[in-house]
Amino acid sequence: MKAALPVLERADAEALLYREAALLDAGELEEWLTLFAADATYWVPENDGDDPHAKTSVLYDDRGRMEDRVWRLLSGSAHAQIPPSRTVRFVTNVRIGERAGDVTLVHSNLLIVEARKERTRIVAGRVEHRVRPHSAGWTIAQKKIDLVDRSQALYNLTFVL
Amino acid sequence: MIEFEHDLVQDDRIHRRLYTDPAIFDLEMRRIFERVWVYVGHESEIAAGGDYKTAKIGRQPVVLAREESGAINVLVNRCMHRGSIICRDEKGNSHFFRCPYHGWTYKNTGELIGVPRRQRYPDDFAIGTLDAMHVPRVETYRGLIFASFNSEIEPVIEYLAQARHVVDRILDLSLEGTIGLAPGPNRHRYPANWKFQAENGVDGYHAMFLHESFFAIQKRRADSARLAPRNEELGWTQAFDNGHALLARRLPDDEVASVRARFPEYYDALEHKVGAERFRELFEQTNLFIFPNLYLILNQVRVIQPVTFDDTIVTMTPFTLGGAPSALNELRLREHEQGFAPAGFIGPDDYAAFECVQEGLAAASVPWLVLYRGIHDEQTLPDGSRRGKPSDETPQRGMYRRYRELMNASAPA
Repeated sequence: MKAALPVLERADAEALLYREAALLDAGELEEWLTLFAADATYWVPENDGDDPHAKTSVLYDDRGRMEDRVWRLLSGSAHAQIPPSRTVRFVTNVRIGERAGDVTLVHSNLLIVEARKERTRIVAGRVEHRVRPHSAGWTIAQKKIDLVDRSQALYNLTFVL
Repeated sequence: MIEFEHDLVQDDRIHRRLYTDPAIFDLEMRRIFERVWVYVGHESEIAAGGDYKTAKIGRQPVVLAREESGAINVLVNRCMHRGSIICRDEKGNSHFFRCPYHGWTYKNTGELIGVPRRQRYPDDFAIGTLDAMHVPRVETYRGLIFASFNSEIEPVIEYLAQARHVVDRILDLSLEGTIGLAPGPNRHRYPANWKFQAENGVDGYHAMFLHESFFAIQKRRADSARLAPRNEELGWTQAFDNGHALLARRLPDDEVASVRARFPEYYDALEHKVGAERFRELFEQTNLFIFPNLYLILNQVRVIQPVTFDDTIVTMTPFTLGGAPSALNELRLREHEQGFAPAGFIGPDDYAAFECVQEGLAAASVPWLVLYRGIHDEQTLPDGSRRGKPSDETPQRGMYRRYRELMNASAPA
């Protein structure tokens, strides 16, 4: 008999999301990557209901591009991040959504306060994490962020959301 | 009205006030954006009868509206009554626009057809004189829609001058000879002058330095799109008439072979259609600037919208190639996002640099920006265009020759 899949409870989801937020705020980007599956995607769509295969996204990274993004941000030559953004992020309203197969959908709200040079701005959105069980606990198969202000022209968004 | 001081633009240098003086910005909007052809959209964005989309000509809001007959109207998006915009959505489908303030209603031809409670206007109220204002000239070239407030301007095909052949080369990469903007845009904003973007897309000098991280990523990923810094003999810059400009690089044979190998059926069909010689010409890394607000740059249509002297919005839409397999068009999307979306690996570094320039130009003690790279051996070609090495400032000198002509000539109507 097949072993039952572990069930992701809200407390597990919160632990995972808070850890992710802490790593991003600390600039621990290589460690952040370890939270994601080998086939993960990181996606910020332009519109509700967009098919990323046919529509332009703010970003639609496969695992390889996520690694490139992290490499670039740590390279010291990503000029849009010289000086780097300082961020503090608030992850709230965490809810467990649909479970399909081994994937559990986790909904949350995200508020990032970003300070860079002489400006401070707010980046906010609704986030969906698709989470799968993994030998080390849980792994993120997809992170999708619906930015609340995406209908506006966006300033550089070069730090990881 | 202020007059433009003609010595602010010289053959090899331009004055910092072009980027810092709000009065010069106002003059640019009138003398450039309201006098030449301005790109306002692509036919694929308003394909069906009743389709509309909004745009700007300089700072002026307009709406492009497709009639059932197929005709395209470009209306000033402003109610003739008390000034509100009459179209609030960026795009949609409607044969009528109703002002949100007092409900005046216009057909998409501009005709005013409804004035609520009209009996309180006198009998001699001439409703027919209050149709929405048309931008007087609208023309298309291969799906690109241009509009002009200058009713005397030459046809678009003449305005494009030598750059027309580059437009053809870009669009002929489509088996059907068409591009589509259905993927939709990224919209980007940066806190600096619009001309930095105009200059930058054909600047072959900055890439190897500012975009070093991008080229390093390409080296990490042998299978990713190939963009090369253009400090080599395969590349060149060119300045055309009317301020249009080009930065291009002919792809070497091995790169053509590798592009081709990914979609062999498509490229075989294209070669069969256009012939081997033309086929080879189509493989170019092309950044084409159509003065004053349009770029056809790699996979994207890029539109520059000046907001104020230090605020600019750039709309970038990756275009699909008509007749190409969806996997090829999807690859183009991903290549675009990798470089140029607001979270991309190229464009945001440009915007960060523009912001640094805008900050630096607060140094009123240093008046000039110098543009004489490659001025000593710039060639004039038989078609009248000028050609330089890939990192030369030939394109920028060409733009500013045109800029100076327009800014110096006192405004027509």
